[in-house]
Amino acid sequence: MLNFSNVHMKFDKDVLSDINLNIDSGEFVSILGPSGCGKSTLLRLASNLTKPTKGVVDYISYKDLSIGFVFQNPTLMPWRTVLENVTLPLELNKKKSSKEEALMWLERVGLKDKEKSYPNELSGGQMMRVSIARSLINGCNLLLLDEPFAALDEITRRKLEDDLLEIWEKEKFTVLFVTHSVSEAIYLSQRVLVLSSGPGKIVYEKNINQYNSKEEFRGSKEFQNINSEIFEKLKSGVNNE
Amino acid sequence: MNKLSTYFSPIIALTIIFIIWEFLVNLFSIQLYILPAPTDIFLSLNDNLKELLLATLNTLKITLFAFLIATLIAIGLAIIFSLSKILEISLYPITVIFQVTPVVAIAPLIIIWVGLDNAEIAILILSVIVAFFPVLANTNLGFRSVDKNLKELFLINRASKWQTLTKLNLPYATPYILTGMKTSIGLALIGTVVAEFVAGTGSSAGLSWIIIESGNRLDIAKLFSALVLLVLSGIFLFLLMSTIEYSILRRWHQSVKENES
Repeated sequence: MLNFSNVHMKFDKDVLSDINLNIDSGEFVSILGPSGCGKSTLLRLASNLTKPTKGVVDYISYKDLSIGFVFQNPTLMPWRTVLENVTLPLELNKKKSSKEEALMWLERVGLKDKEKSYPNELSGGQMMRVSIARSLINGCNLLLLDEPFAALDEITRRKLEDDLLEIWEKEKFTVLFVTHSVSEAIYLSQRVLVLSSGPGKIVYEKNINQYNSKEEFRGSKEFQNINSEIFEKLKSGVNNE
Repeated sequence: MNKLSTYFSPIIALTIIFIIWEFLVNLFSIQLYILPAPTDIFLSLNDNLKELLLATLNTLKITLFAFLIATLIAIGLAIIFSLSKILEISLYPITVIFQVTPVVAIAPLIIIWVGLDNAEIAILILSVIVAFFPVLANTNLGFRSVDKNLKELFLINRASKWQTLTKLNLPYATPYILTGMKTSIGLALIGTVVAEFVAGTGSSAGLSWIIIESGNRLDIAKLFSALVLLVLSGIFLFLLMSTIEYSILRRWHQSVKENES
């Protein structure tokens, strides 16, 4: 559904170069790369917030495109309650703000009893859950995530990863997930892309076989092998600088 | 520090100062027209209570009115500036000119323009000029500080300019606006009092008029009681704004939350 062809992006210097990428509907794709390789720029291109210097970003055969964006910080509005934060996209799109729908999403991210709280009363993980609920409420079919779990502790992080996967398996929206954690990318996605830095280029692509049990997959030898394989590619991408 | 001592320490300190003051005035037999003792001031306050309270109400009325107008003008200007860069760079320097010009210097002009019979309007205008800038500067700063990602979120959801203003910029800037208003309300009082000094005549009998008049008649006790009411007015206005700020930010803002815990 999302297609990058020959995309170049230049600010002061080249940020992204020669990006060709096709993401199918319902696919879960992760982008791995070192800091400053243009991962965030790639997401901003995918969300149409910025236009590429050269090349085309387009959405194939999607009339009702609805993009959800999850930022690195939860980016909640502190003056609104949890519930009001989640209904924001509906308000902005002048849809009838449905409390039931918001409550349903809050329940699905595991925050049902927190609807009346304010963001400053929540933990980091809970805030991120609100942010995810907000990104999905508007019938999202393309979810873009910019290192959403980077600031969370390992246990919270794994819990959130599993919850995100569970929702994705039911809803089958398309996911583009940016991270700098190799194991997170492998664990979550069907396809992992490795970006080099200065300028960002796709240097490696790896399809991940799906296991029935994700937990089993994380402990498997295969997981370890893919991990070290991708880590090597990532490392050589940095050395290109 | 517990709450009780925060409230009572200043009161106790003031009481001690008053006792020493009273004692020294009596000890050195200082004349009433030089420095009255606190009890003399209190008696004068009691004798002239009606006149003094009317004057206080007059001054407070103009101050609050000027403060409200100044706030509306300042927020309005900040909104216009946030929508148009060219208007901002053209008009902002002009607002700075108003801010840095001493109000006493432009008072005669304003009085001539609105006519000597309309002293109250002249005072109001002068007070607005003194008071509007802090709200403008702070609102402006608030608008500029809006979280970059929240702006992107609004763009992704194709929010209109009106939605971005009412649902993002104004709420985000609210703590900044309130800070500006807290400075402004004090300035409005100062502006009103200074303008009254310049323009105040029989037609506008504010506290300044009483201060001038009792100064001329060497009724220093009455002058002091007018000063006392002026100070109380200032404290009242500040507390009023603090209460408004607290009730608006109570649920969500860090500055209030941290003070509570």
